[in-house]
Amino acid sequence: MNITVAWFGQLRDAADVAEQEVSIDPGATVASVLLDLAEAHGEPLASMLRRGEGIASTLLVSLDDVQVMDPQATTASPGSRLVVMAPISGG
Amino acid sequence: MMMEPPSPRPLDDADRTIWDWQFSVPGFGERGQEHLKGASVMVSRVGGLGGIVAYELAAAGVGRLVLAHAGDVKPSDLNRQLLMTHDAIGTSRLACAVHRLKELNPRLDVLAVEENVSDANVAGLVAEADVVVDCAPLFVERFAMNREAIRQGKPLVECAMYELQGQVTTVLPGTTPCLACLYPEPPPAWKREFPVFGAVSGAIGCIGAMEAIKLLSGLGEPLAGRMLSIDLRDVRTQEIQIHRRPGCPVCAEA
Repeated sequence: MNITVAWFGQLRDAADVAEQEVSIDPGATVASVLLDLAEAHGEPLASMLRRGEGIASTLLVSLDDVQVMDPQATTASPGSRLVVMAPISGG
Repeated sequence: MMMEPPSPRPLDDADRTIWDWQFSVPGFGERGQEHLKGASVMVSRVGGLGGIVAYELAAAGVGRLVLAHAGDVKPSDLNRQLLMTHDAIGTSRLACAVHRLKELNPRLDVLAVEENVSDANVAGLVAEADVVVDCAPLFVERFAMNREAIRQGKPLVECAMYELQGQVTTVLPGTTPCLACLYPEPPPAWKREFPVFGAVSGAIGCIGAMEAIKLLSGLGEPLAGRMLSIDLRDVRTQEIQIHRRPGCPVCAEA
């Protein structure tokens, strides 16, 4: 199934794309989707997404307009929109 | 839950002449103006975003601004820091900002502190305000304001920008997520210098100023528990529901 992943802030620069269609397995968690994208994109995006074996806690992730509090326990549905925001502090 | 509006201050005839166009906004009226006149708002810093926030609050008739910003005006400030002027290059940013604000609204009372927010001064600055608007370029300043606003029970408007993107949310202590709920660790990738246009800071700063006006007057609904994200590259907006983080070291007890 396909979902849309949108990147915000410095993640967009690192991904070099504003949003992308991604094919994922049914039941795939948000964490696994992001780790697969880290692998696919490589650096510099990978080190912005990962922290150790998991997902960096500094990311603000939403799935269909609701913040994802636990990426390892949240699964996407066909057509979902996953938004990944890097913290920004421009003032 | 909205904040208790600040104590109203009576309007005089000159106030009514200046702010007449706002009185007819449904839900605002002269009473809303009285609340703005009686209000004190902290804005830190008064650069690209904060300068616009401060200017709009001065224009709206907020009675007092508490401004914190160190340093002198540089040529590279002038693409976005609209309270600064070319003639002021090399002189105090804050003095220039206060001068510009007073040109617009001579009735404005300003507490100007020529320091950036730090652990040493944040408690005193926040104590002077009914609402805090966070426009700082560094997360260490943002986290300090967040921590102190939560501790003192003051609403905090969080505004930030990057490139053609911006984010705004309003923190109501004890009710909504705080900045530490959203970012439990200091973000490692943020750099002090970032790409941006002044028109982006203008757009985001105006939304931040309107959040403060709404909080102070009881008008409308603030972005409480919601993060508004705007991308001006294709003019798309997104709003996400955000949640308090259980066990947040800053706001869990609030």
